[in-house]
Amino acid sequence: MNPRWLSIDDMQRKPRPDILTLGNQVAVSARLSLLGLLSKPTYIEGTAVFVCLGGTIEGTINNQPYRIEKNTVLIVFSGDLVKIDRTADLEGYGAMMSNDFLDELDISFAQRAAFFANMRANSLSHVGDEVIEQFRPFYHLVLQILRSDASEKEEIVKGLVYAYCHRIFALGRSQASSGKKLMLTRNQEIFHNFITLVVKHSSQEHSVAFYAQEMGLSPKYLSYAVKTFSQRGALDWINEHVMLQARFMLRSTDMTVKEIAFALNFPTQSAFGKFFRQKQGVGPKEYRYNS
Amino acid sequence: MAKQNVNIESALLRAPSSYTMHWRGNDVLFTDNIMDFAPFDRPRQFDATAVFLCVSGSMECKVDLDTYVLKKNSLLMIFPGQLVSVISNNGAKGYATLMSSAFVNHIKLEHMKRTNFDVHIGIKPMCQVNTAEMEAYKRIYTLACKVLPQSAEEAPHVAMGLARAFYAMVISSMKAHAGAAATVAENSTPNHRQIFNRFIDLLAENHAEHHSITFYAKEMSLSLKYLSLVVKECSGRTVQDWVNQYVMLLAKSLLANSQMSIKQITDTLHFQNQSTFGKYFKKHAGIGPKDYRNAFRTVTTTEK
Repeated sequence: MNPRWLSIDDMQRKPRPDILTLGNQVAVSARLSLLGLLSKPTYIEGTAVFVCLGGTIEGTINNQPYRIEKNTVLIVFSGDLVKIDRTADLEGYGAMMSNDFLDELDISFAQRAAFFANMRANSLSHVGDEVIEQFRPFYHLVLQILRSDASEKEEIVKGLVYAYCHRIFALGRSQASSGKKLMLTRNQEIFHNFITLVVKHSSQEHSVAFYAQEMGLSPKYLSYAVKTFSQRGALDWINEHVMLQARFMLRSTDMTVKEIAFALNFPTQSAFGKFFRQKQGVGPKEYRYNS
Repeated sequence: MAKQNVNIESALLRAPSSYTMHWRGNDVLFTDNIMDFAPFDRPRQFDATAVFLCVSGSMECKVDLDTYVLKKNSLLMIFPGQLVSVISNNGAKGYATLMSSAFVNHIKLEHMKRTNFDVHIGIKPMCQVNTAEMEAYKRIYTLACKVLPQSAEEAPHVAMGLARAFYAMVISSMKAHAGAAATVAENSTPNHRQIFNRFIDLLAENHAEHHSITFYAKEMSLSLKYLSLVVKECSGRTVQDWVNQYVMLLAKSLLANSQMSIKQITDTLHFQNQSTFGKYFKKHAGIGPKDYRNAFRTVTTTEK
């Protein structure tokens, strides 16, 4: 059986009373009903966070078996293959955010990548009761806002998700510092070094070859290692960071499109325009005007 | 007297236990004691945006020239430059928040550009929220006090997100309940609205010192003609109208609420001399400053 893709769009098209959505950007469920959608092998199109308050879940992520119990936070990244086999007496919350929504939040790329690296090796995280107590009001508040008719609903949810994501980052960091570093695989190490270099050089260097050379690896091997570890190609990560900078400059500075094109080391404004339109769906000028 | 304004630094001195959020300095202050920075001794000018949420009891506040009674589920918003005093307090309990102008501007410019709502002088700053909304506000305060202190390195970001959500919640409540029509014309372009908002912010900060419209145009690096055009388009009023409104409001508030002499008020408002101020005031209020003050005093004493 071929795995299918699951996006928030799909949930919107087939609404369920127990899953609340904000456009095709965020979906939240109070009873982990999101998990019910994953009984067949499914690729996740977005990032999902599940907080288990009680009961058990058994299943596989990227064909690795896992078991979730009380006080577990499970994070599934875009492109992960998830399947749930059994659940019992389940209690908890689930949330899923689209990739576009997360991009728009302007969470620092370095932070996202570092978090990704920390959680990748071990997407399950056992946390204390006090941490669960902190997550609870977030979910109640987001659910309440999604049900309400507040005129600034989207901005409220964005603020809350932004705060929530950073609280989870703190979790990822404590995970990383609790001795799990020993389990650093070669691919993980390569990924980590690669991301550090991307953050530093991506405004000037957009080719995988440059980073491979900096790291003393062949481009092919670098691509392979990054793809194996993160399910995303090296070029995707570079492009994402370039886009992040482009969007930021368009939205928050007075620089002209031409100046931005040169700041990001594109040979011409037209090359930058094409790149931007390909990734964003709209051209730079239009993007600036609409935001 | 004008020195003792209410801002986050001064509020912290009075209420060291309240929870501050740092973004680029002292930017947001959350407290679950509504009286923490409420000026109950005498009128004080606010240098920050403040929100008061009353959960029980009641209190009577004077904002510039208007009096508001906060009771259960009241939300009162104070804008920078406003003169506020608590007239009476009947066991008011609730929450209060202070947000620096830099922070509010950041949210407006970065995140709420599309929101066709600009809160400043001219709208009714108080509304009654419903029980569910109050519940949501309580959750925000719980999060601010519970989650933030735990997340150390990430705290500024968590704070930023919570404060963003809070501000958007307040705007939603104001839109829904205060019947506050957008003061900005619907058909103005986002770019023009942004210029207009910058002008109003600048005015709120500088009106005591600068009454000339060229100052504002210069400060914004715009030609006077262009600024006039944009302001007229967005608000239907001229730049000079806006300046006069702010100056007169401050003058009236000081006359009505403070013990300052007319000479002192003349100096505070940077008029050359008492006579110029007198003429200006008479032109816009219809009566001279002394008469205004006396009229106000008589009214309030007869009320009592």
